[in-house]
Amino acid sequence: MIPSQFEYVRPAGLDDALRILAEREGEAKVLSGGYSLLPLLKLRLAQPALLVDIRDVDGLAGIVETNDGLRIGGRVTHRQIHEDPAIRAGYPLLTDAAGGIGDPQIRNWGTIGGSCAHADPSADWPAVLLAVRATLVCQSSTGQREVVAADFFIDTFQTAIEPTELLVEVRIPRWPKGSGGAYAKLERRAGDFSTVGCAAMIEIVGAGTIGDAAIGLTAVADSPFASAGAAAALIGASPSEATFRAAGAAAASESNPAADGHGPVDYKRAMVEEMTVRALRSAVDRALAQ
Amino acid sequence: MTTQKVHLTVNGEAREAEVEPRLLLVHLLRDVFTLTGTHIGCDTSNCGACTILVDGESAKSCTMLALSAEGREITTIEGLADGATLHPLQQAFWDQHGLQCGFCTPGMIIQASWLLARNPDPSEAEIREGIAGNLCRCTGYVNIVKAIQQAAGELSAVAAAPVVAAETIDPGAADAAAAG
Amino acid sequence: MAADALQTTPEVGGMGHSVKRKEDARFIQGRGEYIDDLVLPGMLWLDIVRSPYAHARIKGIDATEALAIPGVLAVREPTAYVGTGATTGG
Repeated sequence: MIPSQFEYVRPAGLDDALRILAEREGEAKVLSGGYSLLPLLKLRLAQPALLVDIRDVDGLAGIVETNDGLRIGGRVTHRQIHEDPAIRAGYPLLTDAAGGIGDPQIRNWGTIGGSCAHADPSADWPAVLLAVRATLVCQSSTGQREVVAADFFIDTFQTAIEPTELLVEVRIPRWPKGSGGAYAKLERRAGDFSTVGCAAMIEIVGAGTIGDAAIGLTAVADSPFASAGAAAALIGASPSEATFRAAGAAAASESNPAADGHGPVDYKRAMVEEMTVRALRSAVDRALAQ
Repeated sequence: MTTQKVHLTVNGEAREAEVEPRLLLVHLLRDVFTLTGTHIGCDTSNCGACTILVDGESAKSCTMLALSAEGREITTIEGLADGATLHPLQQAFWDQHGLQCGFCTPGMIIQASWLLARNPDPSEAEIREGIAGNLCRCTGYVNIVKAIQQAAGELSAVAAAPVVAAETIDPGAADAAAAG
Repeated sequence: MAADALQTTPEVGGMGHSVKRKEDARFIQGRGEYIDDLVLPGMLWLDIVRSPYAHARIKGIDATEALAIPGVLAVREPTAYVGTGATTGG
């Protein structure tokens, strides 16, 4: 399959890239790893006039850990996240998610910024970012702004990012000691998109009850979302199977999956509950191990 | 239909071409450079038959633009053998019957070369995970795994002691065998 | 009868021996010459346009847009079937 014609530029740096996005507002698509955008171009589902290849834009490929949390550059690849020891030690749900995206070749090139800006309704990163309450940093030639994950993922393939902006950084806040997170992905086969993806973050407080919780879900609605009902079922409760089931049931009732090759609606809803339970078990184990 | 120049290194040789921006890297290799060893299987980045190395990292070339390869070093299946001497992976796929129709084989071998460069002594599970992006419809993967295990042994043996008997192949004989 | 009595000698090969394939030589080097690899002088490429509708009456075929695409040399239209009541397959 051949894409339709487009112009191609490869800016030498961030300022250059942002200037081009401003000048060609609405006409340009940013090319990062390319493993989400190029398939769309090949099917002609997207026909941008101009591709802005950001492979030479420096300063977007770092992973920095501070006391406040993680700063991950928009061009960091899934593989880099998967292999980062600080992330594996302190933020293992990111390790879980990164290792399940696509396959080794795709993980070599696909980036977290590209994935989030593309916002496939079945993408894995959005669920994780919703659960950890991440902030996404969007930059244009006129300035920078931070958007919390809950406000970033708006609809199918739609995010809060403007056509003149680049997603330069993802900021993951450090949760208090006694917290743990996990990502559970149900897929039909190796390298598949999620049938259901559930990210869970849990904080266990002194009394052994859940002090704070967040559940992020993907592939089961028009866009990834955080389940308010699941969080409410968890906060203040003790971390038991019954609590996990209640949270899972709440998440399932808030989901709105479509019937497709992954399965019918009832099956997907049942799997939302099941994957929520599995993510919670693992998140709680990690929280208690802290 | 405007075109742009792309300059890159392919199997150690400097190459350049005048291409439309929309030209896929796999088509640059197959149609412009006539390196047809890299195959197009699914054209949707699933099957891995188009796998090559770009600056040492394995990539599915059907889902990359030729222009994105500017200034980069590409390795294809044609670049693995050292003159007439097969790469240990090529030899191992032959020895272990790691192929039947051969269509997935170039991509599979390239992906295996990436895997072994990063993990010279992989477990069976690591091998299977490492080739998870490469589909084979013929073999059921068992002999592919054995081939990669053989090559892993060979490559670490080479690293330890330089004397390894490798089968050499006469390109003329291969063509004669193909014609016959 | 003992199993080794069924084996041929290594020189002859065959039963009981692992035999290396001859075709692997070209496949492992990427010299397989699959159909899409072939380049012949004056070669053209054929693409087939299929009806998205099964068992449909062919009321007309308009090839103007296709013929306007650079590189398209000809469009073979089954115009003989238009208006005859013949239907697409399925």
